[in-house]
Amino acid sequence: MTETADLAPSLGKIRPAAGFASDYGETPAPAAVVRPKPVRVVVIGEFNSGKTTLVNALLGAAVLPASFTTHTAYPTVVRFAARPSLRAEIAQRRRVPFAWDELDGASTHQIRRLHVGMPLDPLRTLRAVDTPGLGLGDESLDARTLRSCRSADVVIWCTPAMQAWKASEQRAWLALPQAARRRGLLAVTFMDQLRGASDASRLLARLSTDAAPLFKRMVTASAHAVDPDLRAALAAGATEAGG
Amino acid sequence: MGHEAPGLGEVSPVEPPSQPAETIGAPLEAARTALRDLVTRVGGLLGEHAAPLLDVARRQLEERSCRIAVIGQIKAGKSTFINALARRPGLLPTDINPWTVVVTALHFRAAPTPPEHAAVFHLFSVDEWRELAEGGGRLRELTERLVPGFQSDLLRAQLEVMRKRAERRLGPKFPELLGQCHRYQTVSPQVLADYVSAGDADTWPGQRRHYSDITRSAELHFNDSPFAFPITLIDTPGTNDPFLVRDEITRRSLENPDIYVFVVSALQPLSAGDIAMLRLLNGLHKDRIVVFINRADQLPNLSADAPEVKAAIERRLRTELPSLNIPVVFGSAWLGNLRLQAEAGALPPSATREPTPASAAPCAREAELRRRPETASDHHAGSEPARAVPAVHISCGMAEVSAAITRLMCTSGIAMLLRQIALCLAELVRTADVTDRAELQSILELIEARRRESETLARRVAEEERSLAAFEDHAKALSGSFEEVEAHFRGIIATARELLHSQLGTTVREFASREAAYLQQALQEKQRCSAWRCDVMPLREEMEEAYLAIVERAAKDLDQVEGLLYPQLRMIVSSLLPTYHGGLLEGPAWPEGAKPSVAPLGDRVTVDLSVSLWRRWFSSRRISKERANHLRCLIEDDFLKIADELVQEAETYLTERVDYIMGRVRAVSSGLKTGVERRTANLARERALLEGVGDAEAAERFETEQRQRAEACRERQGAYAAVLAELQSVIEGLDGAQGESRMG
Repeated sequence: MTETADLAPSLGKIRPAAGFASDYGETPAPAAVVRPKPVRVVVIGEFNSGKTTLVNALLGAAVLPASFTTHTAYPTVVRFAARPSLRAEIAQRRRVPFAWDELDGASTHQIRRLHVGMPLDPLRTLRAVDTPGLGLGDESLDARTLRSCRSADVVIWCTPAMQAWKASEQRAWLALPQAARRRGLLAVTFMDQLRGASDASRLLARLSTDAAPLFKRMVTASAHAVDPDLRAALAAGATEAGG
Repeated sequence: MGHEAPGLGEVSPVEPPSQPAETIGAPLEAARTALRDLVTRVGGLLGEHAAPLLDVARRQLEERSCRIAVIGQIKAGKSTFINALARRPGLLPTDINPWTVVVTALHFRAAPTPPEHAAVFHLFSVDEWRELAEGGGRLRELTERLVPGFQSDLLRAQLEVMRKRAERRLGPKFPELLGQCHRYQTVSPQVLADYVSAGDADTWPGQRRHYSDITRSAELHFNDSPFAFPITLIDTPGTNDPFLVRDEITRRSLENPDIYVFVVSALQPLSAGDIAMLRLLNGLHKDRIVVFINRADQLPNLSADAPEVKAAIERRLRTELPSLNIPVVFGSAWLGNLRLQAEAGALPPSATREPTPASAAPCAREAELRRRPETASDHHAGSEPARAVPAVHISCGMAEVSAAITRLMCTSGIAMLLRQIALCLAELVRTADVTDRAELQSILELIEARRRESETLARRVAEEERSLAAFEDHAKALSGSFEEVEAHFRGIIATARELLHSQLGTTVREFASREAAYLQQALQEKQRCSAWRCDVMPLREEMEEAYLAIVERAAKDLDQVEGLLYPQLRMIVSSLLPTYHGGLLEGPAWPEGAKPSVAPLGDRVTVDLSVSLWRRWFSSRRISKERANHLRCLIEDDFLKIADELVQEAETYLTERVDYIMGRVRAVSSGLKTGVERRTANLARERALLEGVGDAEAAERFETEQRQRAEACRERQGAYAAVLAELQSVIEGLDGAQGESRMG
């Protein structure tokens, strides 16, 4: 109980994302109904490619802190919970409470991943894993992140629209086992940053020949809107996984 | 775009006064102009013997430009940056997709008349095309060495795409075009797009001919330069291009620029690839890099993020590359272009300064996103942005980057070249000064002697003859010793060569064995080593250190021999004119701080290939000992070749230096000799008169001539002094600019 009280200040930061029109949340599923197992979505990509923003957009709330200067440091699992909770997993799978603003300081524990529980409706059908960005120079961290895709139902690779699909991204993606890539979605993020209406179509035309064939599907995303195709693809992933 | 930033609309909409970018290279241009004028004046003062040296200097002053390479990953905004720096928005074609595929050199030189050809495009030769499009170039070669028989499907598919596209765009007979050179009187965006842009995959049949697939290089010439000093800007296709063939072309075609501008995106600054490239560049070209953090206007929360991003980048650079102090400039080339357009009246000024209401923008953007993509027909509609531009209060960074470039120029090879030219001119003038003073003295003495009595004159003539004969002896001995000294120089170079060869070879072999042993040990401890990487950066550093140390030692030996040479020359000078203290031939001729090229160390080697290829290597070789041996061979093959190239570079560098030293002493001694020859001729006439050949009229004529010559010598002394004073002030200016830029 005391833990919940401790969490209150950091949870206060959570607010609905601006302008976000949720497809969920209008009619919460009754708790009694037997729900299918939530689809496990792992979001990967290079640093600052909009992974955390995409997770927040999917959830319809700024659950995770997204920033251009401090990167996501640990894999973060977001799942449904009746009450908000923030736990850090340390050695021997022990979990201890944490607050976001404690993370950048020197932690006494070796954190393996973070667990965030939230009473948000989208989380009834989906469990999201946000990951540290690739390509910051720590190859063993990159390898760990890529391994986490193996158990995912859906793997979303984020590529930022302004500098989309570089050789390093292609290399990292192709290094994944084919089984993981078959469950892959290419999310072109920051679509709202493009500098002209025609840019989007030209960019997507290139990506559809150069990158999309390496994925099950290509979708677009921005901080304020999630391509309906992405939700459809996630729902499809859920059917496949849940069957 | 900062819509989220509360109160951004209240930020003073007053733009920083739009000032032209600092004229790049102004301090050096002042020196260059002064020197060009001085070369002409010195040419008028000095005789034929100086002409070859002066011609070289004149050509260097006319032709040498500062080469600035703009490099970075794809879509960092390199072409946009060049457009803004050159103050020509829309010049180089840009696009949302990787667009620049050909290395493009833009030559800017202030000249009264436009260049004969504004654009020159060289297409690949038949051999180059075959090597690239059919062989896959160096990348393929390295891959073949790592995993024989394996060619990445991706590379193969891409080569196929390239061949097919060239055929579709240029017709089945396109190989006939190879080896051609296309010239244009004017540069138009359309022509540039035809030769340097990637172009769209499927819009070309039946349209304009699109040559970029087979274009090797593009040269653009401009005579109305926005820069002070002659500048060549080099636009490059981005690195980290998933189209592997293009990545290869870029790496190969960057030849020795004076300065690098490394453009990175503020959104994903300094990835592992960026750092690796900076580390390599820094190893190779210390003190010659500016980092430009581009696209600041695209930070989602500009006012809050900008300072933080900049601080984070500077911190990262300090941790990753602690040894150096790379200037970092934060800005937006896109904004720079926009301001230039606004200045030119192409855009209403409001487009660059009116912030959009914070609430309206996100909805508009969202609506736009929900629209399905339209056809690509409207692309290239113009450079007018569809985006709102609230980023008025940030600096576009162009003035700062220009200042940083100017500072680097003041310590670059160009500044050293100018200094060297100034020193060389001063030396020639001092030599002429010495000979003239000596001649004047002898004429005056002879005239004086003649006035007294003929006996004294005879004695004086005999004395002068002896002194000149002594000079001849000295000079003969000297030219003998020149040959000896030159042989000595060559010996030093040969020794350095041997030493480099054996030491670099040992360094490479020891490193390769060590790495092989590590690998074998690692494999014994753990069978799966998928994350194992061999880092050859330490080897590169070790080789560089050994190389520079040996070359340095050889250079010191050269200095010492050079030091033995000068006293002999000075002795001759004092035999001509014991009272002269003009400071001739002091110190080594070679500019301090000039370093030999380490470019071969930047070559891509097999070990640099990607992790996935190495994984394949692991799976194709099962026995750990065999793996270790193969690794050793790979390292040795690549780096022994690099070692050979370094030996070559060292030899070129040291030979250039010796040639320069010898050129200098030869110019000085031949200057002295010319003076002496003139005096010998005079003396012969004097002797003839003395011995009664010729009449009184001839004697009078001779005397008048001698008086005129003496007068001319006196006049020239004034001119020499003036030229020397000006050269001194040029040198001081260059030194001052260099000192300032070191401090700044």
